[in-house]
Amino acid sequence: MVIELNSLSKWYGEVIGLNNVTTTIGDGITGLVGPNGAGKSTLMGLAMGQLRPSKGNIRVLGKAVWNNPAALSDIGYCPEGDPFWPDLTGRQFVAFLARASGLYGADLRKALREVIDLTGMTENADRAIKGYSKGMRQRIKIAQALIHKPKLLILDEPFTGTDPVGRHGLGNLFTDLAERGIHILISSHVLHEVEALTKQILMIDHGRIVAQGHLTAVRKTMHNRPFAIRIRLDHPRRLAARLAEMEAVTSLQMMPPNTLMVQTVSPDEVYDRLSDLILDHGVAVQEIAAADESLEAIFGYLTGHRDREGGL
Amino acid sequence: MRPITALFLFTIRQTLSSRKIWLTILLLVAPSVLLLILRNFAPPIDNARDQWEIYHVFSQFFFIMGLVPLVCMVHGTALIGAEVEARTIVYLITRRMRRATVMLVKFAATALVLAIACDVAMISLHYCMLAGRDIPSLLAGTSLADWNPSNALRCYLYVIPIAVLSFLAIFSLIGLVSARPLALSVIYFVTVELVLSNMPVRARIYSVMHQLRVMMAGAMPGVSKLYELPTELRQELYYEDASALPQILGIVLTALILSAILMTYRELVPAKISRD
Repeated sequence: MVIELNSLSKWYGEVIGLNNVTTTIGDGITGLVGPNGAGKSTLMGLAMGQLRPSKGNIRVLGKAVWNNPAALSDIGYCPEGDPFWPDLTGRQFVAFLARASGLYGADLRKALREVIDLTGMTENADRAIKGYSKGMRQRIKIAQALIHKPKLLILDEPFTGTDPVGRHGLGNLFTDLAERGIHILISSHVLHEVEALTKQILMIDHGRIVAQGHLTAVRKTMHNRPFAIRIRLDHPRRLAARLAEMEAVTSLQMMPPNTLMVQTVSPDEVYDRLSDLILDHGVAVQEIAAADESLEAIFGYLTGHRDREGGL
Repeated sequence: MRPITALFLFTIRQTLSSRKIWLTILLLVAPSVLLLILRNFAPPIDNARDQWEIYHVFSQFFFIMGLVPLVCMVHGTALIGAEVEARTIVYLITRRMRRATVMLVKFAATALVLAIACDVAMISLHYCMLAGRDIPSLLAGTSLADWNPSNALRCYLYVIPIAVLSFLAIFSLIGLVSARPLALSVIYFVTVELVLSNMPVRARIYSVMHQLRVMMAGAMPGVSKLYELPTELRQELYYEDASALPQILGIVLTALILSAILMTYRELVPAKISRD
């Protein structure tokens, strides 16, 4: 296991940051999602040894992290916001932190060249950080997190403030890093960005884990919530009449122009029946899709943030 | 050692390129500038006693006991606090260095810069006061004939780095203890360094100012002749004590050990923390 949390709690005076959490986080990319104030940064601070648990313990790559430089040397951390020494150039910033990680001489120069190339900062590495755009700042923070070749990368809101092109580039970079065997724990309150990267999620709200695992598996555990299936086809009324006969279908909704929204307690049964109906009636179907298996929908169900504007 | 060297050099670079260093330089050259103004625009002073008194007041009271602690207060309280508030501390404490090491290396680098800056400013003050004056002939035949300005400068250049170490250690500790380090530092300075150090009580041995005064009295016995004080008071204020240096180093060591402990066990997060 990459990260193990055992009865982990963190309090700030009377405010609970994390409440008696026991779980493990495995290989690959894991998305840590939750609204602002849910406890994401607290969990990351604990995983980085920046915060000390109030109760319980946390082990990262099998080691305790609080005041343990040996354990921290296997972790790369990209903090939220803009913590910089702004007068440094990007290259000076990464080079200093490389030296602070024990890299020198030819090893340093090679690692520096690699991470700057990898993060797409080659052209701007010699400019002062204070003149960087938000996207460049995110990239140079990621470069410093990678410079000492960590086994685990902890990314706190890395997409914040980046434009769509920048987000896409960062997403590709994270996927590439994961393919190279680096484990990634990434937090974001913008769910579709996380969903584009990974289906492995850890949902957190009010300091508690509300769901964990693969998105589809999480959705399937929610028996009390009917599943929504969206079907776009030429003659929705004809199909609706046949679907209405099924016991598993709890509601049907016609949505202009040619979309049928089916609510069901048994999606597998509906999918099976749909195949038969489409073949029997010769209906031209443009799309069949699960309408609420998205991370955002599941998170909304679990935490009641469904209708909040602008993501979570 | 390499990460330590990197942080040491980085801290020196950061200190020298910060805006605070300009404030520091401005404060440290203020006595020299004032002396130049006095020399050029005030009526000339021919009296040896007055010259020595001006020199003594400027170098000891104004510079070593006033500006040096003030400069150390500005830099010491922000030694770790500034990194915490800017959240750059997270980069330093997540590398291959113990938290206490981070603190001690930053302390050593800052102390070095300040000690050099203060010594250079002291040299400047000395020459602004005495350059071009024939001191031995002025003092000849007076009770101050054994006063040697070069000896005084040597003494000050020796005492100033010790003052920097001591005050920087104390104010760094205050910076780690309190969320309002400047206010607490001023309270400490007034109560311990100004009031306690001048009281005839044994507790004053814990005052840096008292120990510095004892060290200077030891190095410059002639200074006690400057003021016509009752013998008892003179002995009370200006006495030699060989234990001054060990005692002052004890204060430094205690402050640094406490700072290292606090650095190790305190969560270094900004005052306005995000609880996300």
